[in-house]
Amino acid sequence: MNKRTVFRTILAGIFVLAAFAVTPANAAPGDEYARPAKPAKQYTIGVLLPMLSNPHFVAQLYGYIDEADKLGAKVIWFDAGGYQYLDKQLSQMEDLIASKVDAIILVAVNGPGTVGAVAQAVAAGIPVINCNVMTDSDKVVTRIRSDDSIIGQMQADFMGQALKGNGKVAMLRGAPGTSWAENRGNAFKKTLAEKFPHITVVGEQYSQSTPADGLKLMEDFLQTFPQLDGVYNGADTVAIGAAQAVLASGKKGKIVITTADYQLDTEKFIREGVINATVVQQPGIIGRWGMRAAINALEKREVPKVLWTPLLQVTSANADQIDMSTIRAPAGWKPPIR
Amino acid sequence: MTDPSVKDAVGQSAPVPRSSPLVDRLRRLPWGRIGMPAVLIAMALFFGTINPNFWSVTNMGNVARQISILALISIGQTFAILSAGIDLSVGSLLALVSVVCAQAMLDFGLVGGIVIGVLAGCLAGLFNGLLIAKARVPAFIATLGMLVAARGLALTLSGGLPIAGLPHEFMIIGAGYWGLVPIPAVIAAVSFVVAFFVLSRTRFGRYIYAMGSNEEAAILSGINVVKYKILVYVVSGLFAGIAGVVLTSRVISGQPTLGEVQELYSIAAVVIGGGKITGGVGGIGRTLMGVLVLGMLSNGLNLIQISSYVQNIVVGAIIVIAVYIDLARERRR
Amino acid sequence: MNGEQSQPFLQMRGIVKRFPGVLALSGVNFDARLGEVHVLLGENGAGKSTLIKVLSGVYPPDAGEILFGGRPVTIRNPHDAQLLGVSTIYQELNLVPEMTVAENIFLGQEPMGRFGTVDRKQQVRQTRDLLASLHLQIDPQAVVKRLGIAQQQMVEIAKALSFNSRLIIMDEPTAVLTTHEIERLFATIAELKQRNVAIIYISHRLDEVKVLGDRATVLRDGAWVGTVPVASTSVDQLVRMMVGRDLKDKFPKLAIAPGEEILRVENLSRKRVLHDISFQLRRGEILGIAGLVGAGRTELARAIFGADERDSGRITVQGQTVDIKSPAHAIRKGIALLPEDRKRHGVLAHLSIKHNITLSALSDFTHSGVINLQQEHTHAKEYAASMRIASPDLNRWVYYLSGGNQQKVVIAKWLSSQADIFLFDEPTRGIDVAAKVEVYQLMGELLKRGAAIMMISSELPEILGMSDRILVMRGGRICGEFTRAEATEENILDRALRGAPEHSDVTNGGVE
Repeated sequence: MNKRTVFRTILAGIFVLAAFAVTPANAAPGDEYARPAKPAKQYTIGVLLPMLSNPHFVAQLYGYIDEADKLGAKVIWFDAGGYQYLDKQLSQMEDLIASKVDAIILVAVNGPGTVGAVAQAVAAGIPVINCNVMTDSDKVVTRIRSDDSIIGQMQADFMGQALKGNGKVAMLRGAPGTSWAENRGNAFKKTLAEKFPHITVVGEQYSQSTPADGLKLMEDFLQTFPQLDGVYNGADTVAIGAAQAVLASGKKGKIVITTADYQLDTEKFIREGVINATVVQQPGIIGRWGMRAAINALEKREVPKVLWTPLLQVTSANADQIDMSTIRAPAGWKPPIR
Repeated sequence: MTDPSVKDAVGQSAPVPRSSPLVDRLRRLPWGRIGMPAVLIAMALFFGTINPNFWSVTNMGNVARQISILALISIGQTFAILSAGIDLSVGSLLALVSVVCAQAMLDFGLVGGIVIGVLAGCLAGLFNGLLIAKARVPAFIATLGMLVAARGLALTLSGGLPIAGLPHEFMIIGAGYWGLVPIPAVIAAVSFVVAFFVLSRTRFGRYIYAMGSNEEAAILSGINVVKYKILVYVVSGLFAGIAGVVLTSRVISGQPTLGEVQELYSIAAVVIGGGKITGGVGGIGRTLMGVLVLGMLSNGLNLIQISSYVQNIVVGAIIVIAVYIDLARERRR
Repeated sequence: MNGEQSQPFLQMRGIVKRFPGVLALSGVNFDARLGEVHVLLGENGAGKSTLIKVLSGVYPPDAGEILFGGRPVTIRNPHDAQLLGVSTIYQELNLVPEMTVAENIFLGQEPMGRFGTVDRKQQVRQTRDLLASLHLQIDPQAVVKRLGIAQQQMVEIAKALSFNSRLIIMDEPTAVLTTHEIERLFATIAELKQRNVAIIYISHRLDEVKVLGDRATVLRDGAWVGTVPVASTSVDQLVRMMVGRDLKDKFPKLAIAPGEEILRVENLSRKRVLHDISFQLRRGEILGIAGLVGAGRTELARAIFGADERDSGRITVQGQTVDIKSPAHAIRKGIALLPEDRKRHGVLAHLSIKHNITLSALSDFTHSGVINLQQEHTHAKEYAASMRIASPDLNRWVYYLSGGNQQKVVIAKWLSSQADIFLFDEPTRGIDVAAKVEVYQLMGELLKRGAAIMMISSELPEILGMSDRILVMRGGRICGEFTRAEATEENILDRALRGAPEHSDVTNGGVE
């Protein structure tokens, strides 16, 4: 482990502890980056999301919208329909610029592909806040996300202990070209190599971030590697599919499944013990911090270049104690469709 | 069996009702020519009223840039559909060209990348053309196969990941301006002019219409249908190549996931403009109208904040309505 | 025989029909009586088709009234027409090729059995009765696409009767029939007259009109010219009514001395279709090819033109042996083919008249791939005028022209292509009298230019009137050759029906 990783782990650990133990009763989650005062002006903030079919982003959108409400701002949001629709997201960005929004919060579908659009926005005087999935552009005001390498590392730690240091694992990495799929997966492999050298990664595949893709890939892995012991999943959309495949093949309990995020189906599988552990981002907090950063930037206050949102690890053991308010949108909430 | 007696005669004879002079005058307008532009103007007024930002130079530039890709591949699609064929592979070719162009650019520099990218498109088109004209595989099937294979090839060559690290100068093509006009729009406009000339004033163009109208009669009239069909698909591949390079510049990376579903929009553009899917009828001007309708619709709906899900419903409805109107007019003649 | 009605079964008064830019019918009167054959005559574009389509519900009239049995009716669509007892038999038959005769006849009115399924036995039985009543030897369970065209036509007539039609319209029914089959058709029509069915009969063959018709109505340029009893009106008078002037010379044949040999075909064969065909063609001559439908004449033309393959044989053009691989190749060698089926093989419906005419000759006004539109327009205008193609606007789609005018466009295309050897397959089928003469005159012009013409035709008067020499084909072979002087209808027909004397089916009493 290098120094940077050590530092990051400690930081993450602090956040984890803070989230669990030391939170005073009347402090809201996410107060580490506090809500600023409501500005006098009503700002219009554009929000660009990769897809709404992942509940993780629905929760995030709730965060953006609710926080904007509390800060007296208006939100114009778009979703690209999938990580492969780069062109769509670029067009949406351009349309936001033409609509003269005050700031843009970007959850990028693609790292290198969004560089030009961000440059365009900044050139038009619109600050860009980058949340959750990173763009390669260095012109963004701030980067707000969970630490993907911690996620990967935590999955590796869990996997290593669950397999007692020995076994074969497969990797369903998630959407190609995205920062989270890259960083989480790489961290997973690195940690395995360093701490659990007798665990081998027998196969890894990218796919779109949907259960159908996960299901298909897992079925293929099960065929190719009958002796599979564990499966790493970059995101829970893929993990749900993988879990279904494992159930269908009757290998429940025989394969250790780890993933990230915590939608309803993931919670179900965690409680049933099909998915063993998940590292939970708090998309609601990502959303709120994104909106706060935008307002701060517009009010010409200093914004930190990097903000790491807290992570939780959830297994069947602690599933009952999780505060869901920052992980899911309130029950029955639907994003306002125009 | 029916036994109609005259007593069952249907209805009484009545004089044909005369429509009011205004309706008559409206009906006599040359809708064939002014229909589409009228729709475009109406749309522009509608969107512009709700969100005046629609008219801003920035937005107009955006629309122009955003539809340039669709415009380019629709040119190729026009050639294919006019000849009574179709090219389902253009969307996937965007991805293939993007990957090839990016990799070639890393290996051989800016110009090399561009040239090789465009050539890749032409080559794919040639392959399509040979399958369709020589092996007599129906165009739908042949280009469907290419749609799947080209996408697979793009993913294989790139390992599924984007190819980054392209020279910054390359961005000019996708993001630059020529005066007030975005460069992709300039490229598309020039392409339209060239294509218009070819289709309306060259022998090649005339033969395309002939093949599309009645292939057997065209053969018997002495047209070398095999040769010209191959050319049609090479042209389609060429424009997919140009579009692919422009798109790659826009996203300044090689992306194997580009262009999904775009082939369907290019077909929609041709059809909305009034081209017949069975061939022989249509033209570049008409396709341009179709492209403008689709582009303005998407941009306008974004600006008045209609979600993209609803947008899809609208586009689907417009395709059917446009074709229906066209058929209704023809039936009445 | 004329019907005994006090009042005609059908009356059409003052029918007006407009299309954009064209007044197709301007106040036409027409009536039909039960038990009579009423012939409808007129040049192409005179309005006959339009009148029929108004009657059968395809177009609504813009003005005028239609009465059935004295009562005014409104015909909004073909179904209404059917309910009134009107059936139309078009040139392009309306049968479903993949279904059987019985299925076709009862299409839409199938006899139902128990459980809501079609009672097939009943269907076949009723069809058998129906066909028998018309003295037709057709198997009710035969698949329609295997029947010859003449038999298909009979099936259509039977179908019309199955609807209890009181009025049957026949549009150019004899265009695709051989003499023998025409006789049978006439017999059937006589049968229909006995049953008190009214028949409206459209044809360009005036000799048939004289045989078949009771009364004739002539239309010219959308207007009603007159209705006359056929028996007491001569063909010349009818022609004058149709054309508005006298047509002196029906077959204008120029006296041209044949020149050098321009085409030689030797031992041309194609498995099962053509057997060992040999002949020559010289500049300035018309070689008529006679024979029954199915004799292989069209196949011969297509084989020479490179549209079909050949198995063996040699073709020599202007002294040079050529191996023609495709129509494009044939055209380069100066050969032109005017196909038999204009609609399917000749016309490009969604192209303009102008573009159709210039299609095979585009290279003449093309420089480095670019077309000189001005030259093209002049050229097209010239040929359209010389063919008297009735359309004010050359940019109009050929789709909108009448059948006859469409054919003129196709002929114009070939005439404008500077070919030397013309293979005409039924050049005047479906063309009215006046236009036929123009075509013959144009043929003459071509011959004067030094061209040679091979003319396939099923109209014996035409063959006899225009050919310098006549070849008769049967079963893919040439079975007879006559000079202009020797040929008669009888000896041509004889060869066409029975083949060459050595192959004749009838054993001669004596030797030779």
